[in-house]
Amino acid sequence: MTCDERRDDMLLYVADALDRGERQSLDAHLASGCPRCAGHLVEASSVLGHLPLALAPVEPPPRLRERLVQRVAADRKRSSVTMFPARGSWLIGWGRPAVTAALAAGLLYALVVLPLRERQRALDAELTAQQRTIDELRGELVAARSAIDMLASRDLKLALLASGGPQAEAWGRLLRDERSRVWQLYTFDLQPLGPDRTYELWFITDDDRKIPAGTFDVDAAGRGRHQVTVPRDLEGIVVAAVTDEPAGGSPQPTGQIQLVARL
Amino acid sequence: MISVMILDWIPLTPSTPVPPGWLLALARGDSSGGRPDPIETDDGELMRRIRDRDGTALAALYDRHAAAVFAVCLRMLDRSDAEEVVGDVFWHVWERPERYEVSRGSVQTYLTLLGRSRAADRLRSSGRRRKILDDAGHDAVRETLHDGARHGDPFDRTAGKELRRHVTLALSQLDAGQRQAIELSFYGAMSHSEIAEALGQPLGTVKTRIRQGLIHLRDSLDAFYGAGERA
Repeated sequence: MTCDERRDDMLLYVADALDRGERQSLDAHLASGCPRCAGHLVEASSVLGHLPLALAPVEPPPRLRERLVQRVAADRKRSSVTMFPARGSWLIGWGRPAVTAALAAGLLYALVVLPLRERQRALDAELTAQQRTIDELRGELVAARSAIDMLASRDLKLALLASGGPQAEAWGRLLRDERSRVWQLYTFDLQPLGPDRTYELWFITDDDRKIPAGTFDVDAAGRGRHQVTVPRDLEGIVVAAVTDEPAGGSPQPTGQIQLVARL
Repeated sequence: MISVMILDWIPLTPSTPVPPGWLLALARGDSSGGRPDPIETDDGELMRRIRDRDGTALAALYDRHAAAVFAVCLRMLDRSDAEEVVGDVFWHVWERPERYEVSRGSVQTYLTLLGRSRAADRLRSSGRRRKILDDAGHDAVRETLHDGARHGDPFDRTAGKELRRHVTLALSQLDAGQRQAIELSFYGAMSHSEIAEALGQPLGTVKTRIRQGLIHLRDSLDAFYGAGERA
């Protein structure tokens, strides 16, 4: 069976509608690390994920939201609970044995429980950080695979973006796969912007429309990557440009032109 | 020459009309951290804040997506069970926000599939008759189409609504047998053989119908987004 044939089977795989033998066969193939079928798996999940869109949304009762909010608030409170009870008059009534027991308990908290909790917090933070790293690496892997696929395309076109503003050293490359209509922008030596600004890609058509094509940020080294899929009915793009815009992007360009290329 | 031409961008020109599918295609096509679609951007930001233990972000995520998750659960379970599953879904997001992976699709897809999966677990463990079998006369797809035609604002062509309409239309183009088999599989969490038995049809027919129906939906989504990019 070829990977193209597996593409259809993947729909049944994610719908949990394959026979055991067929499922095991696909499992084994996926475990071999086939990148195409990994992509087919993501695609199939996405197709299934669209099915609920055909259902009219139904608002749940308000009490459900209230319950969730209360549960979250209680959870947050629990995680920051005070370790020692407030001092009170009960100590006097119970006398010395009670005081001793309370002190021992306090000592136990201070020497055993507190360090353990501290350690747990540190481990949780470490776990979260590692999960983020994994997420980032996964994203980079997807991007790298996508770039490799594009470079292998027979229909690849390349455009060089030159500085169009004060960042004289900045430049970029725009890879255009005319068949799939996937375009990838790579930028270099662009200055990182603050949290209130972002870079935005624009396409200008031969009838002078300025089409926003998404925002992107650059890393500390000034490198950025951005990918868009150009709809087949959008024709006549003659210029690609990058401006800096308020965070979230603008419907029409307002900032300074940083990179520009005629296509 | 190019610079001269572009410098006349400022002052602003009137908004350029943009085809609704285009905005969404840009958003879906962006898997690199760019933020072309405010809806997607906000979801990602909410998930980041949830990871930082911000309860207000979870409430905002709930406000945005609970109705979609509830609709899925109601299609599968009775009302009280559906409510419980919706609560479970969002509590799971609070407890394990790292389980959501950007590369695997949009937040809404993640939440609705999580709801569907939890509801399916309930169905299987309860051993109850599938609710969807009792809703035989209820064609959710046609109902949504009809509802959209009755209440839809023809000028409100936002990307999300355009996609919803596209998916609903794509499903409405399936023949009734294909749609029923897909619904029983997806919302009934039933195996091929269970569906064949429930409908009194050959197993091969059921498999073919599900396969062809899903392929049609996939091809239709390819046409909507542009081949190869979808979230």
